[in-house]
Amino acid sequence: MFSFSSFYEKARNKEIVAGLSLISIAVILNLVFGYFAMGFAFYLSFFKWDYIGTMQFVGLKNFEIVLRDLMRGLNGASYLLSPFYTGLKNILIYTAIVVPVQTFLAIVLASFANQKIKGQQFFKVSYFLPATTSSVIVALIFIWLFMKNGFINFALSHVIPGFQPIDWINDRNYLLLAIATVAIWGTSGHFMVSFLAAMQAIPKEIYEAAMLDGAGPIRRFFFITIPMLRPMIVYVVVMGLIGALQMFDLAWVMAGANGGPGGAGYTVALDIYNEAFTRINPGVAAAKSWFLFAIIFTTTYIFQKKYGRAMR
Amino acid sequence: MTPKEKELLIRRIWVVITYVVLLTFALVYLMPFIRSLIASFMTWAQASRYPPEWMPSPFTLENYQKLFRLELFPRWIRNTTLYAGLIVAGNIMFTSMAGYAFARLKFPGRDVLFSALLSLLMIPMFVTLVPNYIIIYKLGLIDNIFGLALLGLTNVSSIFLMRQYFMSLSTEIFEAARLDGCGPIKSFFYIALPLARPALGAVAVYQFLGSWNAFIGPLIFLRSPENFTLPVGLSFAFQRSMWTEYTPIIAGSLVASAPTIILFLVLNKYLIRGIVVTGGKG
Amino acid sequence: MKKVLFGGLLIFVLLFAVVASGCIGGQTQTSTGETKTETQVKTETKVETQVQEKVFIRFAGWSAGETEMKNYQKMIAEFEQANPNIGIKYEVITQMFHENILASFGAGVAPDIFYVDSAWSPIFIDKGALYPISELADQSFINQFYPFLLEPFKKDGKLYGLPKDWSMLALFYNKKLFEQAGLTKPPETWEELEQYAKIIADKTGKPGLAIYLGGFNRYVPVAVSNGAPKPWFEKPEDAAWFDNPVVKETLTWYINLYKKGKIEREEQGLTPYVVQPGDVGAGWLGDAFGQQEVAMVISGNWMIPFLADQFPDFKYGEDWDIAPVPAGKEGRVTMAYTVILGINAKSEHPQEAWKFVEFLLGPDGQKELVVKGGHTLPSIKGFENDPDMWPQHKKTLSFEYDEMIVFLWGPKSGPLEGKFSDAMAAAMRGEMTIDEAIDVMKQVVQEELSG
Repeated sequence: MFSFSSFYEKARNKEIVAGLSLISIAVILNLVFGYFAMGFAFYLSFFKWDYIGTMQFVGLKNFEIVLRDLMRGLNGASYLLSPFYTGLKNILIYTAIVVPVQTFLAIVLASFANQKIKGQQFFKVSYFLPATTSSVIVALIFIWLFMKNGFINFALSHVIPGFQPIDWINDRNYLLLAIATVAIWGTSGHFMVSFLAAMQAIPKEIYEAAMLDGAGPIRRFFFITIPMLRPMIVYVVVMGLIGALQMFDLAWVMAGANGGPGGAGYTVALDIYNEAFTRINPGVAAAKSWFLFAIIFTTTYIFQKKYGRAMR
Repeated sequence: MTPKEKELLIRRIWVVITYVVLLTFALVYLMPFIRSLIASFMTWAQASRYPPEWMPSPFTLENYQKLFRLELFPRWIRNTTLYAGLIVAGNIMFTSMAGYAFARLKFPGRDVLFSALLSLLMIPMFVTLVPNYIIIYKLGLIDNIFGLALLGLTNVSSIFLMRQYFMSLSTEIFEAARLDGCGPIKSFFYIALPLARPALGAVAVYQFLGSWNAFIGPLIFLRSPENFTLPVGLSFAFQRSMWTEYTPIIAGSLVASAPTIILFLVLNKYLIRGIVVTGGKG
Repeated sequence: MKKVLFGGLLIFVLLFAVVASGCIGGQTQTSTGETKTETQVKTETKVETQVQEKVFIRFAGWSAGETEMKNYQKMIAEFEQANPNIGIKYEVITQMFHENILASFGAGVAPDIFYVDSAWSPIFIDKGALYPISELADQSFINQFYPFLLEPFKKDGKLYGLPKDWSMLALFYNKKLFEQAGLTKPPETWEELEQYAKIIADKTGKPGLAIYLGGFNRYVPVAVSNGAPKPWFEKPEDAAWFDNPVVKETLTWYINLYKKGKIEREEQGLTPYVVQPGDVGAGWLGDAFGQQEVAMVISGNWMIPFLADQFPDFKYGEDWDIAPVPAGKEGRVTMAYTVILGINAKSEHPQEAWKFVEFLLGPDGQKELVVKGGHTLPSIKGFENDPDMWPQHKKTLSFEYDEMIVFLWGPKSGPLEGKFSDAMAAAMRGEMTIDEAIDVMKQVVQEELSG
C-alpha cells in the first residue's frame, strides 16, 4: 500500500516536472516577445502620447472615447464620425461569412483530396496554391478580377440568368463580400492541410466497419469524419476567428486606408492602424485593441467551451 | 436494370460528379495563379491592357531577367532560406514538446497558461510595434536574421495545432505506455512524436509558408538591403514611392512560391504515409 | 532511434546557427555607437598621433530600387573617405515608412537622418522631432534652394529641413489622339480642358481626360488659379475656406467633370469624355495614359521615368508631350510635392549628420542622385539647363507659374486629404450632392482640428 502510493506520488511529480520543462522554452520565448508587448499595450491605453514627447496620464479617457464612438454609431451616425463602430460592424459581418464557409470548404476539400482517385496530387496542390502567394499579390489580382467587366462578372453572368454586372470594388454593398471571397479563396486551402493531417489519425477500421454496416459516403462523412475531426475543427475555427477579426492586409489593398466607398471595407484593424499612425493617438489605439481583444477572446472561449475538449 | 448494374451506374455518376466538382474548384483556385504566370511573361504594357489578353506577345523573359540581374537577389534567397529553416526547425522541436505537454500531461496552471498563450495572438500588431522595437533594439537584434527568427521560433498557432492533434489521438496507447512504466518524457519521444508525423508535416508547411512569405516582420526589423528576405527585397527593388513595377514582382512572387510548392509536394507523401493509429493493437 | 534523430536535429540546427552567424553580417549598432581607435605613432612615420572617435550615423529612407541604393553607396563611400571619422549606415524601410519612424521614436531608437514627406512634416516639426537646420547651415547654402519649397518646413522663424528633390504637376497629352481629333495645341485654360476632352471623345472614341475619383490635391490648383486663397486648415474656423464662392464654383465644376463627363454621357449612350483609371481598366493615371486609353492626364514628374520604363514604345516628343497645368481666371498654378532630409532632434551627433546632409544636398550630390537619376527634380536652383537632365523634366521646369503650392494643408494634412477626397469621390459617384459633400468637408475640418 505504502509503496504503491509513493510510487504514484513520484509518477505525478514526474508528470508535473516533465510538463513544465517541455513547455518551458516556448513559454519563455513568448513571454519575452509577447507579454512584454501586451503589458506595454495595456499600460499605454491609459496614456496620451505622440511617440516623441512624454506620455500623459489620462486614466480611462481613451476608453471613454471608444465608447462614445460606439454610441454614436449605434445611433446611426455616418461612418466618417464613428469609424470604430463601422469597423466593428463590418468585421463582425465579415467573420460571420468567412469562418464557417472556409472551415466547411476546408473539410470538404480535404476529404476529397484524401480519396484515392486519379489526379489526387494535382487537386491537392491546386487547392493549396492560393495559400502560397502573399496576400498582397492575391488582393491585387482579385481587384483586377472584380472589375466591372472583369472575369468574375463575366463568369457569374453565364451562370446566373439576368445577372447585372456589379462594380464590386466601388459598390458599398458588395465590397465586403468581395473581400470575404478573396479571404475564403486563400485560406480554405491553407486549412485543408490541417484537416488532411488530422484525417490521417482516423483509423481505417472505423470506416470499414461502417461500410460493412451499409453506410454510404455522406453518412460516413457526417457521422464519422466530422466527429473524429473535432479537435482540429476547434483549431481551424479558433484560428479562423482570430485571423478574420483582425483582418488588415486585404482591406488595406482592396479598400484603401479609409475603407473604400461609404467605409464598406473599413475594419477594426484598419481603424486601429489609423488611430495609431494617421491620427497619432497610440493610447486610443491601444484602448481599441483591448476592445477587439475582448471580443476575440470571448468568441473563441465560448466556441471552445461549447464544442471543446472532445478527447476520445 | 439489374441491381448490380444500377449500383455500378450510381457509383459511376458519383465519380463523375466528384470529378466535376474537383475540377471546377481547381480551376477557380488556380485561375489567379495561371493569370500571374502568363502575365509574368508579358510586358506591363500588355499585362495591364484591358480587356485582358492571354497570349504574351511579345513573349518576354525580361521580368525574370530583371529579377536575376538584381545583385542582391541571391542574397535574399539565402536570407529567406536561413530564416525559414530556423523557424521550421525551431517550431517543430519546441511546439511539439509544448503541444504534447498541454494535451496529455497534467500540471498546475496548464489550462490558464494555454489560454494566456493563445491570447497573445489576439492583439493587432500595430500596438505591439513600439514595445517590440524596444526589446529588439535593446537585445541588439535589429537588422539580424537570427533576431527575427527568435521572434517566431515558438509560434503559438503551432503549439495550438500540435495540442489539438495530440488530443485527437486515442488515449489507449498512452495509457498502455504508462502502465508499462514509461515516463512522460519517454512516451513523448517514443510514442507521441512518431505518431505526430502528419501534424509535424502540417506545422512545417505552415511555418515555412509563413516565414518564406513573411513581409511585415522583416519589413520592420530588417534594415539593410543585404539582409532583406525575398518579399521585402522584391518590394525594395520594384516599388517606387509613386508607382510599382508590377510584372517583375509577379515574376518574383512566382519564383518565391516555387519552394513552398515543392516542399508541399514532398511533405505531402509524408502526410499520407503517416502512421495510422490502430486503436488498441500494440 | 528517434531520440538520436531528434538530438541530431538539435545539434544540426545549433551547428548551422554557429556557422551561419559567421557568414551573415550579423548585428549593426543599436544606436549611434562609438569605437575608439587609437593609433600610436612614431614621429618618423607620416601618420599622426590621434585618438579618433568614430561616429556612426544612421540614415533611413524608403526605396527607389537597386540603382538608387548603389548611388547612395557610392556617395557614402566618397563621404567616408573625405571624413574618416564618420561612418554612415544606410537603412531602408520599403513600406509604411513614417509609421515605422514614429514607432522608433517611441522606442527611442529613431535614425539620425530620415526622409520626411511634406504632408507628414507638420507632425514631426510640431512634436519637436526635427533638429532646426537653420542652426547648422550657412545662409548661403540655404539660399541655393527654391524658396517656395522651404515654406512648409519653417516654423517660428526656424527652418527644420531641406528638400532633397521635388515634383510638380503638369498636363500630359497624347499627340496622336490630338491629331486624330484635329487639335493642334494643348488646352490653355480649364474650360478649354473640358472642351478638348469632349472633342477628343467625340472624334476618336477615347475619353479625353482621366482624373482620380476624389483627389483633393489635384483639385486645389483649379481653385487657386481662379482666385481662391491657398487652403490652410489649422483651426476649426478655417473650414470657412469652403464658403468662398470661388471654391464652391470650382469644386462644383471639378466634381461635375466626372458627373457630366462620364455618368451623364453614358446615360446618353455616348463615349465618356472624363473617366477614372478604373473605368478603362487601369490602376492609376499613369497606366491609363501609357495604355493610350485617354488623351490627357494631369500628373507629376514621376510619370516620366514610369513611361520611359514601362511603356518604352510610347515616345516622348513623337507620341506624347507635356504642357503646363491649365490656367484659371487669376493665373496659372501648380502643386509641388517634396521630401526633406530631416535630422533627428534627439540625435547624438547633429553636426556630423548635418555634414552628410550638406554633402547629399549640395550641387554635386544632387547632380548624381537626382539629375542623373531622372525620377524627380533637383531642389537646388541652377540645374535648369544641365545637359544631364532628362528633356522631359527640363521641359516641366521651363513652365512659368504664378504660384507653386506645396502639398500641405496644415497640421492634420494627411487625414484631411483622405477625408476630403472621400467626400469628393462620393459626390462624383452621385452618392451625395455637391452641397452635401462640401458640408461633410467642413465638418471634417471642424472635427479634426477641434483638439
